[in-house]
Amino acid sequence: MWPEVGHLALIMAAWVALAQAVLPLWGSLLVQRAGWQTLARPLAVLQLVLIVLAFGALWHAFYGHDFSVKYVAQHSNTLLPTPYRLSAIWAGHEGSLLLWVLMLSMWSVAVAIFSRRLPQALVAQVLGVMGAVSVGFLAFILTLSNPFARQFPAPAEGRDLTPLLQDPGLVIHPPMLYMGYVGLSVAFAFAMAALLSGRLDAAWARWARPWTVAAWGFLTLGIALGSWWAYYELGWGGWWFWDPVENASLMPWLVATALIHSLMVTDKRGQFKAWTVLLAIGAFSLSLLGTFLVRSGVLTSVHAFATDPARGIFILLFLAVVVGVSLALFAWRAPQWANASQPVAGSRESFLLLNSVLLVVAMAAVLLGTLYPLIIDALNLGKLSVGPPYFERVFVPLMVPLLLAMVPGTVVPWHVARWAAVRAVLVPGALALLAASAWASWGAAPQDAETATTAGGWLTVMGGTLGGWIVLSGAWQIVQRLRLPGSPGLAWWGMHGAHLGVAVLVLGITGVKSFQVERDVRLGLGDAVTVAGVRYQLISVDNHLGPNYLALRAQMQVFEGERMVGTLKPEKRRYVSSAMPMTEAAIDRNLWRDRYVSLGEPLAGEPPQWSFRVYHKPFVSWIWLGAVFMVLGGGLAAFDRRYRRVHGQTQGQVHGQGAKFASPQALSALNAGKTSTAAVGALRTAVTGVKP
Amino acid sequence: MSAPTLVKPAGQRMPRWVFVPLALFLGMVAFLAVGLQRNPQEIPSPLIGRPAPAFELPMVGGAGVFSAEQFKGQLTLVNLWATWCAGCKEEHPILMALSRQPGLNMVGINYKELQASELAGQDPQSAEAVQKATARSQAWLQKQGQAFGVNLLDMDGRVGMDFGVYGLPETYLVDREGVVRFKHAGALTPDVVQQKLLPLLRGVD
Repeated sequence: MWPEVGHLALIMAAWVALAQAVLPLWGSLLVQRAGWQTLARPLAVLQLVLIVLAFGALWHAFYGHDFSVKYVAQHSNTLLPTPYRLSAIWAGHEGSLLLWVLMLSMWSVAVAIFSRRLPQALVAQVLGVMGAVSVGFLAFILTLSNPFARQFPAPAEGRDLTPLLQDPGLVIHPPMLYMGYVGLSVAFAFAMAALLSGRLDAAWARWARPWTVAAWGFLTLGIALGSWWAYYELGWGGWWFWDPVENASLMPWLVATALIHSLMVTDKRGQFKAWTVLLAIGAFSLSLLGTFLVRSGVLTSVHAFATDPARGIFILLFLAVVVGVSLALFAWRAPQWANASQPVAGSRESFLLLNSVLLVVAMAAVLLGTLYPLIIDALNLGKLSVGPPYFERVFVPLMVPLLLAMVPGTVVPWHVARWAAVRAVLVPGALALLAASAWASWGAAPQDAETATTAGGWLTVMGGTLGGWIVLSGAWQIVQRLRLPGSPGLAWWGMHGAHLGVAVLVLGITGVKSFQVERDVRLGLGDAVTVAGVRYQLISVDNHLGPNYLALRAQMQVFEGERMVGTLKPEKRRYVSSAMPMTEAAIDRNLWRDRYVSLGEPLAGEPPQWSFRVYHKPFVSWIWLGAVFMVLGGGLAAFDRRYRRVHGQTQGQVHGQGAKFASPQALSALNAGKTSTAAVGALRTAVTGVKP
Repeated sequence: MSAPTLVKPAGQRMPRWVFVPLALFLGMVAFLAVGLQRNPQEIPSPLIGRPAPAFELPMVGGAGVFSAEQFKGQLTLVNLWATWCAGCKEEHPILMALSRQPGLNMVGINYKELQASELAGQDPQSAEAVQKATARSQAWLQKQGQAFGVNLLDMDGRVGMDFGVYGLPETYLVDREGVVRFKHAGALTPDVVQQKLLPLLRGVD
């Protein structure tokens, strides 16, 4: 009975969503009906209640092994441990979409709750647009992807959940990623409200900021979890593969990052309005495009999901309508927001413009690489695939100037060019260069006969300098700020946290790319291999029985010199219901390096041997540590109280966001090239927004 | 909030740049729409139009060997399969139906029946391994149906490799001259048979 209740709740939710889309928009744009506008909030809440009911019903079916529900039988069986039984709900197409609409209505209700101080009409429009998006997805679920479809007779046992998905990382990776994807719908709804009403002021940008930052934080977390999972579960030792599905999540992330920064300019300076709106549309459109790419099967991917052409056509039509309409509205409205004044080169705006452009170009490069096989196929020019070399060659040169601009972008003032402000952070830059050079030459010292080829190269120096400069100058700015009275806002701390995260990520990537050592070896019992000065000795290989799998488990003792420092136990699992073996890498991790061993196939011959991959990966944890800092920074920024204010404030209240205008005295002091004390004082003003 | 504002901004000409995002997007949608009609998994085989690779394999359970020479003179459907392959079981009823097609010789190549993990270092060509594979192969066909006129054992997977096998099952059509005319990777479906294989069979005949 519960599946039918769930189905009915979903049908009702679709009608509620339709009402939520039509009434508030109608009542705020075409006629002025305060009553219709106030309906937006209760309708959003009602929609959430209904979708939660549907979600609960599906959960109930999974928990109770109701294999008469086709979706349950396809993704769960009685052997499956309970946590995976409950997370199996988003293992397939239908359940993923249900999770999508659940998240969407959760974000809608969050907007309804935390927007008490916003104008009624704006709230009505934002919730109306989100309702319209929800209508599309609910219609898709109800017509082509019903998770509650029954089958009779019910099978006695279900199929298993894909073993790849039976992992704690994969339990939380999709919900976090979807929170990010769907969260971008809030920024999109704000943009649509601006396009529909024609009202776009600084307050609009200020209110949109925390939502964008929150969604960006979830997206960052989701991507990082996926990468971390790929690292320890796929057994290839890599953490990013430029797979189409990974790219699908990276593209909205890049645009959302640009949007966060562009929104700041619109908030503080009232500039970049059209660009900000375009980025907001772009970020959410790319989320929808990602959904299309993943769900339609137009691209081959390790994430290849069961596909159905009718579904692909529906999502493509939906994408075309949502994005087409919003871009048409953009073409209609944008001229009135076109910038009257160009940003002065060297001002903070100019750096943020550079940031936007580089991020959008990077997105376009990823998009081109992702769609290129499809374009070539569509033009009948053959079949091909685009691999990591393309992406790395294009992406890295775009990221270098972006990182280079990060430090000056945070120290120069708004509106005016003042290169002298950058001079004060040249000391941290020089220190970073020294440290990076030392790092590169330390790494190049031979630890092992087969040290990785790039060790100590100029890429190491460059990555180390960029990362180090961001860290050191961030620290310098924080120290300068703390010596001043007043407390900087949460957004200021969030900015520094997120930038620190980027730097840590860059250092991690640089470190692992430069100094990793990878060895593919065949070992028999008692054999040992030495990688990066550490000896790995194979002690035993046994069978091991898990709840729903049989594993081959190797034991390896790890020696530093003569001293045994640990045991690693890599596994190769064969799940009962799947022929494909799964790799469980064994990792000994600390902050400075990972020791990573994965067990390959048994090899023919006597005595028995097995193939192993033994990796020494310095600094690899920093990649995810950086993501953690970014997420924390985003979280801090989202809670800045300033974003919830109704009225703008004067310059003095702008804590830590950088001064709007430097004081005339400071300017003249700099222009006249006066003493360093005066310059530092001016700089302090520029950095902190508080006069010394 | 102010009065309804769904009015065109007055006194402004539409600059052309505002249409750029829309135009780019519509171009992308067009490509995606075409892309939806294609199957990215469908990879053309370099073997099409070329002679089938030369090989000689023992027949399962029978005395004697089968060589690629014997393709000549009759139309042959070659199916690479194994008992551990789920797709093979799925497509077997279709192979059964095809085996009733007059004038079509059915050859099964049982590819790597014993996988590396089962062999655990044992030589795949050893008598013990061959015996085990033979027993499994025959039992499976007994249960699923004898679709193959000739069933061959490719224990070490050499022949499969020469055919360029990606994954099981894979099906090839070889004409009277011993030339490969068609390849399908993955389980055969009624659609593939109706729309691709049967027209080819008629054409080749």
